Amino acid sequence: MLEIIKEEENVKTVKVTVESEKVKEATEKVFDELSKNVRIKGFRKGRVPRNLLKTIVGTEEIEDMIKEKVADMALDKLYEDEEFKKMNVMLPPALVSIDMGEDAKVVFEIHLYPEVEIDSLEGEEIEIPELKEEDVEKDVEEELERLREENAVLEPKGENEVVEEGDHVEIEYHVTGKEETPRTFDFVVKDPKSSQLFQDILGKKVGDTIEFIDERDENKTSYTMKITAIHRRILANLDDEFAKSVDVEAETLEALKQKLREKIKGSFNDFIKTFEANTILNRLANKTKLKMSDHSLELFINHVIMRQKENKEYEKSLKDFKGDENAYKESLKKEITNYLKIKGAVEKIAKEKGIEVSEEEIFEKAKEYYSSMNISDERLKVTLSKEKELHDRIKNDLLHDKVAEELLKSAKIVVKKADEENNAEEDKKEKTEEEKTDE
Amino acid sequence: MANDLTPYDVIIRPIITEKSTLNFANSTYTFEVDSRVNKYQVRDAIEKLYNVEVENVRIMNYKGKPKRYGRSEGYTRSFKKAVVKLREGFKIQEFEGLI
Repeated sequence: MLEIIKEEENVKTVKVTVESEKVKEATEKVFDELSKNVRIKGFRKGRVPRNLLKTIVGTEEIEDMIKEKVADMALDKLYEDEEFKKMNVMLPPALVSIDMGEDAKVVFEIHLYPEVEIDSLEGEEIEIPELKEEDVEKDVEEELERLREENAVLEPKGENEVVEEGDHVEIEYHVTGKEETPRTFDFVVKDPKSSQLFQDILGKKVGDTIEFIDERDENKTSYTMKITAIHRRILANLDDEFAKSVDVEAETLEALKQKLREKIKGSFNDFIKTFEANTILNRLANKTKLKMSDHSLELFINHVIMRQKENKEYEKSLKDFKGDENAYKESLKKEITNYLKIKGAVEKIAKEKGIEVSEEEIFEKAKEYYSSMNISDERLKVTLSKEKELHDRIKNDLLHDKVAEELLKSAKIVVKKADEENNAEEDKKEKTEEEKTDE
Repeated sequence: MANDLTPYDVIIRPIITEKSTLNFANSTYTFEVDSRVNKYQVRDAIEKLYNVEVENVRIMNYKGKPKRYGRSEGYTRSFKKAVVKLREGFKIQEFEGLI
């Protein structure tokens, strides 16, 4: 039975009683394990008297071991408690104290997801970028150019002709000084300024060899490359024939262009949708207050760091902050606060407005995620039922999307003209320059 | 000379093994003793040291066993062991906490 002894903000202090029989059981277990593992000359394994064990191992150490076992028992009891199951627990329960009387009294601190207070978001204005027709046309031209490059026809160059920028080159290569079967590779020679290899290969003929040192490799491996073929790339003319060759559905070049226009506009609309949702959720975070203790936040940060250390990710994360632990902790603090604000606010709004995520919706979303993996519906259902973390993550994503959608209904979406954007940027620049001259 | 030994010289250490601890219940205790002493000296030493009355003492000599450590050969040390049985009603309190 769980006894709540203190409630403060999002922290509940609870007392769990472990009965005397269970305490005895824990004591027996500790001595059993000790006598199995402690080797003392003159005694067979498991035959060392308890008092002798206490003298050798130390009474305090043995008591600590018993306390550890009792704490585990209390934790199991806590996890099985119906009241605890109803709690929205944020972190694993933290052990506060163990009072070893006849019945052991174990005190835990339970950190719950904090409650939130949300200010109204009514009439919130969201500025979205404008998609100008000329920008669409520019993107269409770029896409057509990419398609031309991709579908270029390769024409072999003569024996005396040399490699030029834009040519397609086939090579055989091996590590210099190592006797190994050469491997083959082919590539298009691009701007010589972008790579040493392009610089070295320009002007070479079929049969020529070059030495190339891979600067990106830690060991600076040197490769010997032999040119086996050079092709001139002939780009197709932009006409109806080209349109048909790259897209069977497009009869004319204009039809292909129209299709590309629709694709670009579709991608832009998807981007705007995500942008709007992210913006409104960030605004929501700014308008949300957490009812949470600093101690809880600190524990959360330490918990994240501990997890990262377990997964050997901590050093990597710290690198981004040039090894400054305090700066990293500060950034984690902001990130966690923001996460908790959005999570709390989204759940509160969903509850108030009756927004729910059904199992079918979760399944459909999972299907979308795993569409490229060809997983059967049955297998996906089993995976979702087995992997609670994945199920909950998808559910959470969907709930966020739905709440964002609901909030966007009352928000004012303003399309920011590209010219205005440029003007604003210029104004900003002017201002900073003015400030500089003032200084 | 063996006669000059004090009780602290006679008794070297108690021997605590599975077998010896089992005998604690019969007020029988095992000690390693000086190799020069006899059972009467052991009796007197135990009576003086622990303030008890001894019923009998059994003495046994352990001969060192040949032992080889790589290329060097030698013997483990020899020692004398005394099993001391106390009169009824007597116990050595110092050993009581061990079992």
